[in-house]
Amino acid sequence: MTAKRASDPEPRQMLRDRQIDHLGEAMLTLTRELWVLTDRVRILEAVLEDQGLDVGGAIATYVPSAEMETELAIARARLVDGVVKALTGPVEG
Amino acid sequence: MDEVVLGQRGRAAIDFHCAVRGAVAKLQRAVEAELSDAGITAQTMPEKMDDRHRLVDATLAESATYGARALLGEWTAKDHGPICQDAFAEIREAVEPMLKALEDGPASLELDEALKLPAYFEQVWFHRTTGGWDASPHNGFVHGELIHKRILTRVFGGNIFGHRRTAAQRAPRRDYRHILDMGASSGHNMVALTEAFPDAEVSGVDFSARMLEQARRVANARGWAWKLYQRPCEDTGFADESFDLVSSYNLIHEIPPRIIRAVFAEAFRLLEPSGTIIMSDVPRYAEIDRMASWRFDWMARWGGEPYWRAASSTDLVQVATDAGFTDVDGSVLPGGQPYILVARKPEAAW
Ligand SMILES: C[S@@+](CC[C@H](N)C(=O)[O-])C[C@H]1O[C@@H](n2cnc3c(N)ncnc32)[C@H](O)[C@@H]1O
Repeated sequence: MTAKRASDPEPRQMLRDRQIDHLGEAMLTLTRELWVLTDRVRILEAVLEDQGLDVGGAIATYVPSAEMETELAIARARLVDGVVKALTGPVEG
Repeated sequence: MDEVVLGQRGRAAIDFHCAVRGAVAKLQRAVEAELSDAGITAQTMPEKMDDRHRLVDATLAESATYGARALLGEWTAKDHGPICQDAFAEIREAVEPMLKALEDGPASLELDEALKLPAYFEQVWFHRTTGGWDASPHNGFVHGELIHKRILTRVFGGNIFGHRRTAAQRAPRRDYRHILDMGASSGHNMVALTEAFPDAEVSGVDFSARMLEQARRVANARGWAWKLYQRPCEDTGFADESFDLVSSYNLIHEIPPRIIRAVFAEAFRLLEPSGTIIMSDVPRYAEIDRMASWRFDWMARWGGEPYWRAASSTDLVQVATDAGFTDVDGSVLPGGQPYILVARKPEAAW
C-alpha cells in the first residue's frame, strides 16, 4: 500500500449512480465504433493483399503527415463526442 | 433502390446494430427462462398488464440479464435512427441524383402544406426514431430503404415483406379496380397490393410528406402510377364509394382507439357496396398468451409506441362490425404475426 501524499485529493465518486445506465450505453456505442474500425481494417488488408501488398510492417512504422494528423484529430473528436453523448444522455437547459 | 451500396462506415455500423439486436433476442429468451425458474409463465402471469410488468420488474430486480436486456434494448432503440442518418450522409452525393431522378415518372404526389397535423401524431417520435417520420429531407429513403430494408428485414426476417403479400392474398376477390392504402408510408404495402392486383389503380394516404416522397420513388422505379396524397386516413376527402378495396398495414397500432374507429368508419364510407377491407397489424393481446403479450407490451413501453397497448387491446372485429362491415374475419397468422382482418361492406345499406 502506498502512503497518502499531501498532494492526493480526497476520494470521491465522479459519476453519479443515475449515470450507470448511460455508462452501459456509452460502452455499446464505443463497441460499435470499435467494430466499424475492425471491419474497415480487415477490408483494407484484403484490398491491399489483392493488389499484392503485404502492409503489416509498413503500418507499424508509418508516420502520418500533418494533413492526416488533422483528419485523424477530427475523427477522434467525433469518436469521443459520441461516447460522451451516450454517457451523459440528453443535456438539459 | 435495393442496389444502393452503403459506405463502409454505414454498413459496418448497421452490421453492429443488428448484432446487438441479435443479442437482445438471446437476452429476452434468458429473461423468460429466469421468469420460468421463478414460477412465472404464460399460465401464472396476472391478467392485468400493469400487474404483469410490476411482477416481472420486482422478480428480476436484481437480475443482470434483465438489466442488460433493458440496456441493449434502450441503446438499439435510440441508435437505429442516427446510424441510418449517418449511413445516408456518407453516400448522399452518390445517391442524390438517383433520388432526384425518381421524382419523375408515372406516380403522382399531392402534398398539403397547410395540413395541420393532430397532436396524437405530431407529438410522437414513433419507434423512438430521432425527429420522427419527417426528421430530415431524405428521411423517406432513410426509413424505407435503410431502417426497414437493411435493419428490420434482418432482425425480423425477410418475411416482413412476405406478410404484406400474404395479407393481400387474403382478399376474397381478384377484380379490384380502385385500391386505397391507408398509412402508406414509403409504400411497402402498396408494393404487395400492386403485385397482387396489377390492373388496379392504387392510391395511398399518409401524414408524412417525406415517406410519401419515398413511395413516389418506389413507384416510379417500377413504372407504377400510384396516386399519393398527404391526408389523414380518418378524413381522406375522397368521395363516397371511390374504392373497392381499402387496406392498411401497421397503421392501427400507431393511432389511438378513437382514431382507429374513425379509420374504419372512413374505410366504410369510401368503399363501394360489396367492397373489401384488409387491415393488418400487430397481434391482438386477447389472441396470444400472457407471456407473449407482456413481451410485446414491454417492447412497446420502451420502444416509442404510445398507442400499441390500447390498439392491441381493441377488438377490431367489433370495431369493424360497429362500422357496418359484414363477414368480418380477424386472425393472427400461425407464426404469431401479423393479425389480418378482412371484412366486406354489405351489398346495400339498409
Ligand atoms: C408503420 S407505418 C406504415 C407502414 C406501411 N403501411 C408499410 O406497409 O410499411 C405508419 C404510417 O402511418 C402514418 N400515419 C399514422 N397515423 C396516420 C393518420 N391518422 N393519417 C395518415 N397517416 C398516418 C405514419 O405517417 C406512417 O407513415
